[in-house]
Amino acid sequence: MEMKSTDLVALFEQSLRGIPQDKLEAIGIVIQVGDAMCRVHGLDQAVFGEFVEFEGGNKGIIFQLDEGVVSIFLLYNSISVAELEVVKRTGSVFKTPVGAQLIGRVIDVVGHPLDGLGALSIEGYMPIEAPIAGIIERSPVNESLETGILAIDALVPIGKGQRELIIGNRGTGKTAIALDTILHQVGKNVFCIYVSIGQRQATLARTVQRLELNGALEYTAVVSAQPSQTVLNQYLAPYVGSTMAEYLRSKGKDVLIVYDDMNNHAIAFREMSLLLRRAPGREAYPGDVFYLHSRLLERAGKLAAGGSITALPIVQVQSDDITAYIPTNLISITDGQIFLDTQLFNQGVRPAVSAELSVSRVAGAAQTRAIKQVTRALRLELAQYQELLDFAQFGTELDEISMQRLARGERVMELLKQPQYVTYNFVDQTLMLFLLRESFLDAIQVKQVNAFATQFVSYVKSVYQAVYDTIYTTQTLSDEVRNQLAEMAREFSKLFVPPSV
Amino acid sequence: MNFVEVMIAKKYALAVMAVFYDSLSLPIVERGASLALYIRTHPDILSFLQVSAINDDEKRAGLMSLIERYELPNCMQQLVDLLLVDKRTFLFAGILQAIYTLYLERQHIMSFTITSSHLLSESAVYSIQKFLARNTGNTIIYMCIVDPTLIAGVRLANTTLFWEHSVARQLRDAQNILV
Repeated sequence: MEMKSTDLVALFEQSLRGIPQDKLEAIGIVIQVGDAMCRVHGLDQAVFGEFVEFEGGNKGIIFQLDEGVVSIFLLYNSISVAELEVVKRTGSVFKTPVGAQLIGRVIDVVGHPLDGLGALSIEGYMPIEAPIAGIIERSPVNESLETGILAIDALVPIGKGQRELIIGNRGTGKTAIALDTILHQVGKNVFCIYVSIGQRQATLARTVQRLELNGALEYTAVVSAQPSQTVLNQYLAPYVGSTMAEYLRSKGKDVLIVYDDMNNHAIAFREMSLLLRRAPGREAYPGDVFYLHSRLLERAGKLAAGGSITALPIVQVQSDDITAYIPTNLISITDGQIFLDTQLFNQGVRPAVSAELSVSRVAGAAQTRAIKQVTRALRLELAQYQELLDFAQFGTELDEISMQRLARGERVMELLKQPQYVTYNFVDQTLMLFLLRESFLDAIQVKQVNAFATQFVSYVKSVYQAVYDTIYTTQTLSDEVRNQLAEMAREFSKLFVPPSV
Repeated sequence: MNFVEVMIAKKYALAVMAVFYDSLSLPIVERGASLALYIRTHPDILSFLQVSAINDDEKRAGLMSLIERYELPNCMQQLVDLLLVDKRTFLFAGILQAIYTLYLERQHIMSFTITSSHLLSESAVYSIQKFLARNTGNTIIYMCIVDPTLIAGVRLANTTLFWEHSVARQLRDAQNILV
């Protein structure tokens, strides 16, 4: 045995000469392990946000530097961390895989594939926190990003590079709007990234299946942070998605990113802050929760050099209260919001977009000219309708003009109803809104409005293909086209056979 | 000790260092660290220091006998008196440990644990000591431990620096990559 021992020492000495000896690694020692976080003594030169590796295989990010002690959040809950375990610096921040080949894949925050389609093919790694594009590099939002949803494209149009919040109670169709918008991007050369933050696995599986069924996975990547993973994953997920989007934008691509939802993200951050014993503020959120979301959403935008990131953050409210802390923060950060009204939803109005509370600060600048031409008075009409509707509920006798406005409002509401997974391009929308604007729907029964409008679109598309194509290419309604459309509408009114109920 | 207590202990240690630095030496602070370890590994002593119902005189007598046994200088008696006034005698072990750390830091001494799979020869230990001194620019004091779980090789570590060349590490790295 003694002989063997000597041999090993000799072997070691020999080996020692062969390897670089200037590599004393900076380490720390775990002194306390908690729920998905630990405190480490040492790591004197470590910096905030640095990525660290544990001897046992776990990884983490430094979130707080105290005198002699750093607080680290762990990436994996499946790998245990023991007291006195060695923690090593990597000298780098957390980086995420990027590349166009990630499109079509479902990955987790660390970049592991979740779709069973094998290893990822990536083009590199990028730090998840990077300086955002400055004002010189940016370009105004002036190009429409069609959602395919009539109520949104007509009332609260979204432009490429815009940040539009989708806000509403639980189960009012927030994710449905985001999904429809993704599905509508087929063939439009827009890449989509869906970031699922703390969503149930079953919900995510359903979403991915829907994207796949509609062929949307061909231009969509999904980043998922499941609730079963550590809180750090949920915190990182939107930044990972945003980094992937930024990479694609740097290649001149247009990207649509959906964060579903920001409430879970804020809750994850609150949990982390409370574990770090940071002072809780309103609703126990830390003081910098605004910065958490503002720095994320500021990454969206359109670049002068080409490429854009359009962000659709989703946030859930309780009892339609949009004055809660996180929703108000997000409302002030974003360029508008689509508010989904529970009352409308329960009345069967889908999508339940509230015309009163929804707004797009970019508005007409990002609207196709043809749609703009036929939606000028739409908001006003809806507002008048809502006002009169409230008044009419008291059983008051109304004058003829008011009755007309009520009747028209009913038709507008009916026209804006749209089934899920059915989207309209801007020409279809223009034709539908043309019927409304030129009062062709006034003679139609309310329940038949939708059928009339969709059949008219099919009629124009099949019988007057040239007119349809003209609108598509010019993106405008000339007087000549208007006259032609009016003629077609009169013609179609005679042909229209209401569907049997 | 929790973090707050560690921080308070460090402040007391800094005060002792500021006032009595000249009366300290490496053997003294090492004996102090040994006493700290002894107190920490004997919970009954900690309880004795923490229970407020126990008379301060008895606590003082107990701590003085420990100071005497570990041949610590008079300045430690003054520290005990101060802790009795402040009702913080339970921090005594932490303060001794912090004094040890601070003293080594100020003297540019680094303490390392050399863990090897087999007992190292004197010349091997000397080479390691030289290697550490060259890399850190400090005087190295060390403690040797034999740990067969390394399989073959050596591991050098203190609380902030680390160097390992062992079969165990290679297996660990392989596991981290593969699993």
